[in-house]
Amino acid sequence: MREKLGVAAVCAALSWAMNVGAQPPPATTAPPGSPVLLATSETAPAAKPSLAPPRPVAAKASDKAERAAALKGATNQLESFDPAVIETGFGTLAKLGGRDAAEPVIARLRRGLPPQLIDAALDALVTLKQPVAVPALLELTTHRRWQVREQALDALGALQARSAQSALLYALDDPSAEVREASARALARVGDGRASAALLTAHERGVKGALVALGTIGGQREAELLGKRAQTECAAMTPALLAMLQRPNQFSALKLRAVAVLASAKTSESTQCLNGLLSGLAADADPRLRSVLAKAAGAAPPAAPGAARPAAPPAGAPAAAPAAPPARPAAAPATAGVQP
Amino acid sequence: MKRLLLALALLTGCASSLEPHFAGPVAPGEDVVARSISTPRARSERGVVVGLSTAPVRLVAFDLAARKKLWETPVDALSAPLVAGDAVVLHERGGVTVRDLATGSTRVELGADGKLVAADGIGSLVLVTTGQAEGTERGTVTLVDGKSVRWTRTLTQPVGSAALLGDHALVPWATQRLSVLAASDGAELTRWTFTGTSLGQARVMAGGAYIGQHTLTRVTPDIHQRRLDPLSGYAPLKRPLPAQPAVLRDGYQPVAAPDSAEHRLAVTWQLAEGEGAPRAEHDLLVLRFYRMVFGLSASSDSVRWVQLFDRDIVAAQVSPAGLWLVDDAGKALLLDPSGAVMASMELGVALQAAVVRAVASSAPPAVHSEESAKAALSTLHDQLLAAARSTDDRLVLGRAYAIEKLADSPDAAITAVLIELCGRRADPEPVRQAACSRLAQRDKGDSDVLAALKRRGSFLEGTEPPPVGPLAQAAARMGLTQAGPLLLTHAENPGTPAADLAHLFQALEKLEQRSAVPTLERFLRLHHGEPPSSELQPALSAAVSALAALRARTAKPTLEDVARDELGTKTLRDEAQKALLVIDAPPASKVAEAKAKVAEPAAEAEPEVQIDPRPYALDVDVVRATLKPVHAALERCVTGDPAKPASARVTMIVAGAGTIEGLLVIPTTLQACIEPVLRSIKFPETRLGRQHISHVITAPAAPK
Repeated sequence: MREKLGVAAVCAALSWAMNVGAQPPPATTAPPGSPVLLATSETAPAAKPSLAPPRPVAAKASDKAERAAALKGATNQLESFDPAVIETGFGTLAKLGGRDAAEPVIARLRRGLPPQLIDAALDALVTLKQPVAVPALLELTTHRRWQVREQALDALGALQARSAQSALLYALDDPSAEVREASARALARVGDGRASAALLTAHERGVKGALVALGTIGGQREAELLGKRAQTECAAMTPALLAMLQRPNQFSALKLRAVAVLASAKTSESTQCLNGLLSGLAADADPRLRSVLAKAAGAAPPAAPGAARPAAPPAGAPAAAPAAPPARPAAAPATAGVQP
Repeated sequence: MKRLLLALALLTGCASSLEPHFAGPVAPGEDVVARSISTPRARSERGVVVGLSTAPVRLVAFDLAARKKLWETPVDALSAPLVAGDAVVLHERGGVTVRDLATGSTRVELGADGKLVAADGIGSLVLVTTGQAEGTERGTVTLVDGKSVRWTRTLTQPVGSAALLGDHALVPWATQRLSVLAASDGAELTRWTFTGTSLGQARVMAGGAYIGQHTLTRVTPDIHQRRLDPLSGYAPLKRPLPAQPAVLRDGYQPVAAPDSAEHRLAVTWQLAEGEGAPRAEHDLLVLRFYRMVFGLSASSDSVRWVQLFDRDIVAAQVSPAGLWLVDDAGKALLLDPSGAVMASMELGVALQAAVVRAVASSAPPAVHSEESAKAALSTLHDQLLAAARSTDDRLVLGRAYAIEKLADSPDAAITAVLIELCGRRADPEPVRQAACSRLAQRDKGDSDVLAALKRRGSFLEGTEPPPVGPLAQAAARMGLTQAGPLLLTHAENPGTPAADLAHLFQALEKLEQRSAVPTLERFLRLHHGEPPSSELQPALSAAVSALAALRARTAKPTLEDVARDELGTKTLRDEAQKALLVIDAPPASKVAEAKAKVAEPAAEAEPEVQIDPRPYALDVDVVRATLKPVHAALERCVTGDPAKPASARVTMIVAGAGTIEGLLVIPTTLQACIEPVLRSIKFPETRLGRQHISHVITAPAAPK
């Protein structure tokens, strides 16, 4: 599911992530038996729903009547006591898309489901990409099953739910290693500078992915920290440094600062580390960064095909690189910026 | 003429009476035999330790009085040794062998048929019981006189441990029969069947002869007249003991092999000399459990002392002088009845099994005065605590027993000890189980319970969670309403073990914590679809029960949903249905209703919960003062929610600098509203560092 989450959610995130925190409480908080759920009870009794999809999904978005019928049918399927029928309903609603399809899924999820159906419901919510799902997902971050908590955190990350950062930080202290790692993954997507301290602690306590998350969301302070640590712990720091260096929307100065700090050690290990970073950079990495890394490592700057050769940094650039302001202040508001 | 005839008749009669005459042998009557065996011949014995060394195995004898080794000889031993009279009896590869106690030389080899069951002796006479030969139930008693066998008697029934009384041998057999054999030739003088009593042992102790199996009954001149009734015998009070060693070993069982754990897990006691009813010497029942030795009261289920030695104890003997112990390093110790070590003696040989025969003359001069030895002893509390905290993996059951005995004390301080022991998750399960079960039964030590509940397990901080389930049970027993908010914090923590949740919910119910209703409702709603085999089922049932008991009307929609949801278990559906009936029913009494009303404000009167109680931390007052500026805004969030929750619970991770790191709001629909408000405030810096804080925001009462 993580792969699905990772790819699918990123595209839609920008369009609504800013609004997540401001959403009014969703109608799905209504108790079971609310009109939303019972609206279709006349057309298909809840006790004997059909396994077959209710109606073909509307081929055209303009076919509102057909879509409404499909929505009703799928919503009705969620009232079944047959897990297969419920799962079919989730699938249908996920295909239908939109907030009105997400709401029945959320309502059913919040009423409680057997573990295997929670998985299906979360898949549907990720596909639907509706911010209205965030409160339900937050609730699931305290579910007794760690698998559910892990899925909920992944879903929050995939939905780019910035308002979930606090819950994600809370989950970073979860008793389950899988949940902690999911929390770190999600923080790498929606976290900001406030998460840095906790991520660093988590890394020191062995939480996988915490350092990469730190590299993904960290500011100048984290850049210096990673650069400093890489002087002696290159292998451990390389993934995080690469994550930082390859952030496409991050100020170059931040990246240069990390390189400068690493290079300032002037040891064979730091040189080796810089070379490792250079070879680890993606092909489409910033040519200037590539050049700076190569210079710092004492290697010939590689020419990126089709790219203009970057301006050579001034002599001693890595060490003397100007201290850039942090990309994101440590106290940045939750709504500032969106990380891909 | 008449006179002549009379004279002839008289002469004839006298003549016949004057013929030579021999009376036929007459077996002594039962009364005579019984009277005879009730007074066994007095014994004069030597105090010794006889043991088997570790490989290469040698049989070694030490004289306790002379404090020196008597002899040692290589043996291929199949059993531990027995000391009887002036002999050592051992089952060796070639058969049961009787050796001279003074020299170790072989006096008699009884052959390979059967295992050594028991041996008893007076001087050079040794009565050996063997049995359980392969494929038979045959038992044999053999009387060895010096270097020869005086007689052997074999039965087709199992034979128990026989005793030599002097002129007679007492042989219990076939579980209810007792034969008295003549020591001279082995002839059976009488046989009694004791239909009301099990017989496996015949012993000579404290100057008398005793028979029995589960208890020992003194052989009296009228013993045979009581054979149809249950004999009232003596034995130390029976009680649950670690590994359940028999207070009296089974008289039909062979002596255990040298490497058997039986030599390290055993109880020892001795009948006291003297008139009156039988009693244990020093009222002492000694339980040895590897290197742990418990001095128990023989007459009551109580511990008098506990000693944890460096080495395993392989032999023990209670004597009038005190308690003799022999450890596997070859050290003999003499303890006084209070457990203080009075003297010790190095035997110089590491032993795997041994036997001590202590007599009054064998007590060595004490190296410690009674006062100094006792002064060196710690209190019973400390002794039990040291035993409970031992890290020797073999002592698990002994540790659990020490905890049980520790918990017998009503002292409130014991509660803290039990909390610590119950919370040691690395400890073996029986140890933790003992501590946790007794912690759950505590009714004193409320401050310790509250302090423990304030702790929270944190992976990042490397702290272990407290044992929530037993603490919840204890809090409920103590009626600790202050524990309610703390219990709620643990209820919402995924790290709280599922097994603890049921106890936790039951405690919330018992403590009438109405503020727990949202948490209980949420738990039930999210998890009621769990399969029947789920470990959450007990907790789900407890949550339903609590919601019913708390008359949680706000939870009715969820209960209705659970009652009709066929994806949940039938049991849970039925319970939810019953809960709905309870909630809808009128209160059982006005008093109960009044209690519920009182409980609600009481629970809400303490909105803040300080999770970490250490100094320099955020406390309730500081949290309250910090949140005061945003209190109204927080209340507006709660009242503005369409679900109209009665309260919201905020759990925060506050950094040492006072900034909020993590934040979780329940119900989660309020997260979006409450989080920005809380983000706007900053707590004072603390020296403690990161803290977990829970805060309850109560919806203000609606204007009337």
